[in-house]
Amino acid sequence: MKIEQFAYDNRTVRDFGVATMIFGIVGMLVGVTVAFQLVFPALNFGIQYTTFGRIRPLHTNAIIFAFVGNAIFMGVYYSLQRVSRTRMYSDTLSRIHFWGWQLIILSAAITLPLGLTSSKEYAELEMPIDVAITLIWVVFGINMFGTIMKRREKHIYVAVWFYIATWVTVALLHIVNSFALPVSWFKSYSLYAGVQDALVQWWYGHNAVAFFLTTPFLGMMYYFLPKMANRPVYSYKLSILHFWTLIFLYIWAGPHHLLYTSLPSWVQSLGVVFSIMLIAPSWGGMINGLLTLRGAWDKVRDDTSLKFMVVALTAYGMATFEGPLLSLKSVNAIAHFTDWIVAHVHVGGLGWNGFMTFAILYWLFPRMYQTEIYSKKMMEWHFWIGTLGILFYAVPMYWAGFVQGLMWKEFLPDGNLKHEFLATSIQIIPMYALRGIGGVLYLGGTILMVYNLWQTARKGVFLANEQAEAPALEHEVIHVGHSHWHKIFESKSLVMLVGSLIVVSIGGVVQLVPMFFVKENVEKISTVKPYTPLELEGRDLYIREGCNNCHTQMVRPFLSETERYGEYAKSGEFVYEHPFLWGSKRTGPDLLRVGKKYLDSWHYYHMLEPTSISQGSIMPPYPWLFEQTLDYSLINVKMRAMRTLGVPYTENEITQATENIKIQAKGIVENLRKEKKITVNSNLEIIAMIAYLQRLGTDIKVEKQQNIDTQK
Amino acid sequence: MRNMLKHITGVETYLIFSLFLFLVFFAGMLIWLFVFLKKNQVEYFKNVPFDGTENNAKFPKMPILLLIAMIISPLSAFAQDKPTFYVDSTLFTEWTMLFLIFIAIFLTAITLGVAIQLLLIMYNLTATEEEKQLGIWQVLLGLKPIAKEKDLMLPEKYDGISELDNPVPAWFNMLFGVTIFFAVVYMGIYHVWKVGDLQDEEYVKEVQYAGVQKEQYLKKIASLIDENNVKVTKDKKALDEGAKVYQINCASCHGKKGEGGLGPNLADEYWLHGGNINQVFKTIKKGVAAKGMISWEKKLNPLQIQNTASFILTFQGTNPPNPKEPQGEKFVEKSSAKGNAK
Amino acid sequence: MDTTFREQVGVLDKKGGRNWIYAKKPKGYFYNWRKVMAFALLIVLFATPFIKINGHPFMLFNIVGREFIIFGVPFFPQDFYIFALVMLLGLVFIALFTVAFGRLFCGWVCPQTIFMEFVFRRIEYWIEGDASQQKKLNALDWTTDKILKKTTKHILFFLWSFWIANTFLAYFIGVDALWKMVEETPIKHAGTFFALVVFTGAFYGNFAFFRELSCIVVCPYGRMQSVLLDKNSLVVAYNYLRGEPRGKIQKNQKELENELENTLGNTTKNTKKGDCVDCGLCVQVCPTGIDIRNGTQMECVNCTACIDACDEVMLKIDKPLGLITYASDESIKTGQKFQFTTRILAYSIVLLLLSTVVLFLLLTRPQVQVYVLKAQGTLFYEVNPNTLANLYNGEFVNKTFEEISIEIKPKYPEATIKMIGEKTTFKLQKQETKKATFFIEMPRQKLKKINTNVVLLLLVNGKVKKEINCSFLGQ
Repeated sequence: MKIEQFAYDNRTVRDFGVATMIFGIVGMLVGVTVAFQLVFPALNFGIQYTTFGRIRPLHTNAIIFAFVGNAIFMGVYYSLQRVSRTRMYSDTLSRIHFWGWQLIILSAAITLPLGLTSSKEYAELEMPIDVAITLIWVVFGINMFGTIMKRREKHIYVAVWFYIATWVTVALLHIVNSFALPVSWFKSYSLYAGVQDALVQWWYGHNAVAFFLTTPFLGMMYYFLPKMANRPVYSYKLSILHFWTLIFLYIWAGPHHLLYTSLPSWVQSLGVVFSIMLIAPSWGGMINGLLTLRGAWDKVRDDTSLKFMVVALTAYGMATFEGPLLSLKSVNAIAHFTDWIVAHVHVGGLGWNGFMTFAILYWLFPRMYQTEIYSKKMMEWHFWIGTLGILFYAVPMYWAGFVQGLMWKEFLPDGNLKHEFLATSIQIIPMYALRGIGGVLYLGGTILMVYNLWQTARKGVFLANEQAEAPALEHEVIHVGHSHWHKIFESKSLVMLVGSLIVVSIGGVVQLVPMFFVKENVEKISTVKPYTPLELEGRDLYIREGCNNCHTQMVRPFLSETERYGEYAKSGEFVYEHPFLWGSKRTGPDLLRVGKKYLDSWHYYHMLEPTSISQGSIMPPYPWLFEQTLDYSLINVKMRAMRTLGVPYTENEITQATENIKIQAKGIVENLRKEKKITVNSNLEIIAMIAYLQRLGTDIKVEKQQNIDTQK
Repeated sequence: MRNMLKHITGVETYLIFSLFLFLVFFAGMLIWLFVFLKKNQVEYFKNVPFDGTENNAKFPKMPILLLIAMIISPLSAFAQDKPTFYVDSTLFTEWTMLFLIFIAIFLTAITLGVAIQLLLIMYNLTATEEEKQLGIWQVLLGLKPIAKEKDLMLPEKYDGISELDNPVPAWFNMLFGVTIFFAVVYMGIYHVWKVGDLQDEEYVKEVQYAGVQKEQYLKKIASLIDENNVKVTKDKKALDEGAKVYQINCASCHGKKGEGGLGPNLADEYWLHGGNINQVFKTIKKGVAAKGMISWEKKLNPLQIQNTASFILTFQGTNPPNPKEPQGEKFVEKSSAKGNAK
Repeated sequence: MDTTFREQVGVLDKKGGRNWIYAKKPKGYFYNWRKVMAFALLIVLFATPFIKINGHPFMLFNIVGREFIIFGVPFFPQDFYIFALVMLLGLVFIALFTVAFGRLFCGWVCPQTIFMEFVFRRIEYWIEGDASQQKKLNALDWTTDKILKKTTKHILFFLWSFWIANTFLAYFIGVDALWKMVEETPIKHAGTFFALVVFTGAFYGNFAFFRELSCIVVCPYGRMQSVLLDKNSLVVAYNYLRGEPRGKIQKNQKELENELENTLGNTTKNTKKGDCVDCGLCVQVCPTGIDIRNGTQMECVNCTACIDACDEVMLKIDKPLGLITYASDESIKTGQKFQFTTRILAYSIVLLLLSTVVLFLLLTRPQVQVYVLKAQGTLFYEVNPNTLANLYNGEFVNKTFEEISIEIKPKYPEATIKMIGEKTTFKLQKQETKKATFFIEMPRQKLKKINTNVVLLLLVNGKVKKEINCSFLGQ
């Protein structure tokens, strides 16, 4: 047997590690900022580019794709080479992957504050960046599969199964969810409308959690945990069982984000039951990790990286138990749209992703720099304030969610709601403050880590190419005969790729395809009409300002909601909604039925100075809407695009659009003057915003009116 | 006893069902015994000493006796035409029912346990040597025999990481099984048998329930008047009551004589939200939040609102001094045709 | 040393099935004290729902009715930020406590341990006998005796679970409501009854079957505690320096040692046996099925059963107690006794401070909560060309059990308050929430910008308690 000499590429790993740290700090800093903006709305300093609606997506994108993303690549590039006993397939591809990804992050950091967003959560980036992501993802794929193919190890290790599943599923999710019709470089409309768009989005959104935040980290756990603890993996059988069941079941669970919405009930129920069935497969990973570790439990006392690992696994266990619980309809009825969900995802994000990333960084850097960690004490401190940070984040948010759940639904005996929406918001501001403190603690810990690793790097010598040797793989000896049936998947990366693709596709196909082709899934309402040109422009402003980050447009069928907001949402109301704007969190009240509820002048003052109308509101003022003139130069293109997507604009409506805008704007200006003697220019953005808000949810009221009329 | 059963429908079915289950079970066991058992195993049965006191008794007859006793005992209770005791109190009967159900569940649980034990015995009798070593759970769960593997350590190593061949914990499989069972039943309840309420029905029920609650509440505070059945009252005392309420609550905006102020003029023929008693009642009750008219239903009871609305209508045509300019549409009593405005 | 404990889990057998733990009944010093502790805690748990102060429950967590009473003090959803803070401080408290004193909580206070070890396992001992008898009984065929024993045990388990479930329910809906439900028969309260049955089932399943798996697999807190430990934390530990090399005691061990000492002058480590006689009692008593001599393990709940078991043996063989004892890793290594270091002192001070903060928060909680919001959907009104008015909704919550009088008035004379349907001074019954609607009128010349802050004063029983900021729209 020939022993071959080769070298592992540490440079790419190190670079991804450094990027992880930089973007970790940036992402958390933005997170802390948005957290405190909910306590002190003035914290955007009156600048439109730093309002909550615009930088909350920046926070989520920076954390998910920049911090966690880079951490994944760091972990994959390190572990994949070693379990395959080969260098990465191509150094050039590694470079392209690294710099390409950083450029994508940079462009996200520029476009999101500018308000260039698709409004779809965790997929806010616009068309050109989406294409870039696809390209870089393909580069990563070629590099990864190339490496797997030229491996010197007969079988593919469990960590790599997870990497393969991650790659193929993320590609699938990203492409399907990003289908959109562009109207300009940075403006496009989702191909799907309303209910379908919501389903596709949360099929994506939920599985972004599954296949970007979970499976790659499970893969990394399977490599780094046994390495750190110097223990064998507890159970190979459990690995097989939980790997396949996890990727099969996860993909179905997306609709649990849309319980009690206008989504057809059968899809909702599928979301519920598949979430429940996810408990065991999710816990499979945790159990395998913990039982691997239990053989070295005495080491946990002294080894801080292992402590990070244990907390990560615990957080994972808690979050994956809580998730199915929240998917039960009765729990979801209370918890959805509240801060409980925010707490839930942060237990996962801060605990599972964050802490595991820290553990790996602490383990990798001293090794790559061939030295000891600069300060163990500092590491210990990081662990402590990080853990405290998680607690200070999660506990107040759980209580906030609890308060919201209780107060939003509290009735008086005479059948009236007890609390105004704003009364609840005011209650939870102290909790928001506490949560901000939690974020600061966590960020402080991260900064400490960066300093610690920086010093470690300074005192060590970087080993860019780590020499290694291994016997060449003898291809002909692969036999399936007596070995475990699963070895078929472990021998051929393509079998694994196709296998996981098939397994993850099933759930998506079963849920998505009927939604596109079976017409009965979306009811038809004759009174629902497309937006006028001015309203359409207003809607684009709504998207630009990220209003959907705080306001839902989804009244669920509960008395407490119909009493507060009006008739509950029907799927037929959303047929022209490209993209859907249901939102996922009620920091502010629902807006589905806000149209015609208040005067035009109410909206005027409210956008100018929210607290003057809603005392104690934490919504920031939007003075720039009163200064910037509305740019409707693209209105014809936009309407044509909408028509391509199935919105029935007539040719006449499209050619008359500019005229139409001017007429409708004049009407609003006239209203403002009549109501409160407000004089305002009709070409300002605020006019379009008012037009859109006053239209919201009114189509169905018209229907009711008609019914009453016909009865008479 | 039969009367009692009416309280809980389906109790009979439950008993019949469980009886049926056991019948099937015993039938299956008999078939197994006579068709599938090998000769020597039948021999074994013949040798089973049917004396419970003997310690070497490998075949437990107790459970079977118990089983029979258990099936008979509740049946005998239900078989009686006339109960030996009867107390005419729903409280007592309901408790008895509960108790019986509890006993039934408990007995079923025990019988199930016994049944599993029997199944295990049968299994041990019929299993091959190899299967025997595995144990029933391994066969049921499809686990590979671990005893054959001398060492837990799998031969392969990945960058120094090896894997153990520990089995998947049985409780893990159980947990998984339970969740799958839940899923099947859940889908069955909501989408196959359709016995569960989906969100729209749930909402309708919630609204109904709330309506009943509200009605009861209003009954309690002695007023069921609403905008549909409200009548103009001419009663002097009632109008005085209304006037009092008006002066305290309304006069600050609508003027002492209804001439208007912050709020619109109530003494002219122009109304923003309708000028018949039903509409005025509704406006007072629900308010017009957008225009500063608050909802009064939390502060005034329906009777008070009726009195106040009636009082307000007495302003019509009084032409008070300093009137506010007319707002809204001129009100013509066309809906009087509906009959309840007079 | 045998290291299979690292590769396999004690509570699982080779086929993945359950390795049932038959824990031998402990007895001894610690067990006695734990009995006292458990008894006290159980009494507190079961008695609390019945305690009433001035006719109000001492503790109540009525989620559905939004009624919360803690230590006789009523809380409203509006007060939950205090809960959040209390809970946080509690967690910090436990974390710091754990660093210093290890998993004391698990062994002495946790309801899982207390119910398991001092209720359910004691019933088991009482009916089925000690561990060895239990084992024997389970191996036996189903005789009348066994069926009787098992049935009795499970019925008792079930009844206890039912009682526990009822007690928890009493915390949530109050004893009176619970009793009413019982009187009106559960059929009228099917939902609650169903929940009760489910919880009974959960408790029963947990204590009859799931047992230590709750601590090992489910409990995140137990795991979190483990990572908080460091080498100075107090844990139940085996003094390996003293105990190793372990070995069965020989009849003439002492003589042998003396002889060796006489002939060689001193006993070297090679020849002298450690104090551990490898009797295995510490393993037999362990409720989570581990061998404490393998060092600190994930499963260990610090229940002290092994301490008692070992001490008993040490007494018999005339060796000093505490071969297994509360000690820190460091104290064993250095051979020193566990000491109250400055670190522990510092932590204790922090803990004391935290408790003070919590107490302070609870005591200074405002007695009257006031919210003033602008009436929904309103803007401003022109009372006359020189005066503007804004409409507000105020909510006044009396959190006490006494009647109080409330007054609101503007801080500066230019503003006037016009209450609607109410006077500016009014009474609030105990625990009453009152809504009031009022106008604030401001002269135009005082309004310099579109949004002006108007300050109101809240007077409770004639004393100024709070300033309320109201935003005033209009110019």
